[in-house]
Amino acid sequence: MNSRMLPVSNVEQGWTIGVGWSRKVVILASILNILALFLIILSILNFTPFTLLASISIGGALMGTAILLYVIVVIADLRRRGVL
Amino acid sequence: MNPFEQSINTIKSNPYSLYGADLSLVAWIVLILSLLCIFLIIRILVQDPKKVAQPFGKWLLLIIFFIISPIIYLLNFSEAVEDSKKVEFCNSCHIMNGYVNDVEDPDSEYLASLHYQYRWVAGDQCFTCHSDYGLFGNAKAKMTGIKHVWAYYTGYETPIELYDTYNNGICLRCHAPVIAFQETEEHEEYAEDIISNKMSCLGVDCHIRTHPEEAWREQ
Repeated sequence: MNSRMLPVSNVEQGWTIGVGWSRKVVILASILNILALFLIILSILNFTPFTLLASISIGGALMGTAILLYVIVVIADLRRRGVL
Repeated sequence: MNPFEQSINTIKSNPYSLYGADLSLVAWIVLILSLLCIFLIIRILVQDPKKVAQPFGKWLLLIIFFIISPIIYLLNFSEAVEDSKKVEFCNSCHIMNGYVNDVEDPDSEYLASLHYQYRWVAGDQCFTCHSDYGLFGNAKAKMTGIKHVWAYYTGYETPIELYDTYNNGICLRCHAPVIAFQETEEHEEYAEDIISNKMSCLGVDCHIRTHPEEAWREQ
């Protein structure tokens, strides 16, 4: 199926990730990833047991969730395009 | 500070330090990559939200999420594991202040302090003497460390004590090959009991006074 035929939102020749919920999910994933990166930066600049654990556990969980959300969006996009 | 110590400190001085935080090269890489990722994500999302939907934004986010971020996490993890072995890190919990102060005190005659002052243990002295040998020993020590951090913030009983009798294997991994140790009469006589942990090295009649008993009070 030609991607031009799909509801590509307001982006001409673009990617279907911009449609509805998927854009919100990408934004959420980005925010979670930014938070995880902030925790990592904090643990580097102020290395204490608390910041270490926060960066590894909470940071890891946030980053993992962000990746998972992005995977979901990519799969949804591929299904919408008829690839999967 | 004597000239020998000063020369060592000069060699040890970190060229990558930033505002008092001693950063290694890996830490710098993690820091720069993290800031770069944050900048790019914010630029894509805030400055031009439409870019999320365009191939450029899609691929950039894909690379950030699946390649750069996991690399940052793993580098930070390995760096954190190494840095958490340092004496300074142990001392960042106030309950340890008394122990570390004693260890660093040149006039102290406690066993741990002698090991530190004479550098019988070359570096990471707390971790070396409080972790079992091998990969699983390190992993176990790290897991115990996480429990300690949890206890530190949620409350713990004092005086603090070891969970179990001190493992002789930790002493033996350095002392066992030493001829003077092997030829000591008491060591020869009780060799089997020492090796099998039936008899502790740190006992009433053997090597006493590892740390000051009241060290936990000094916070």
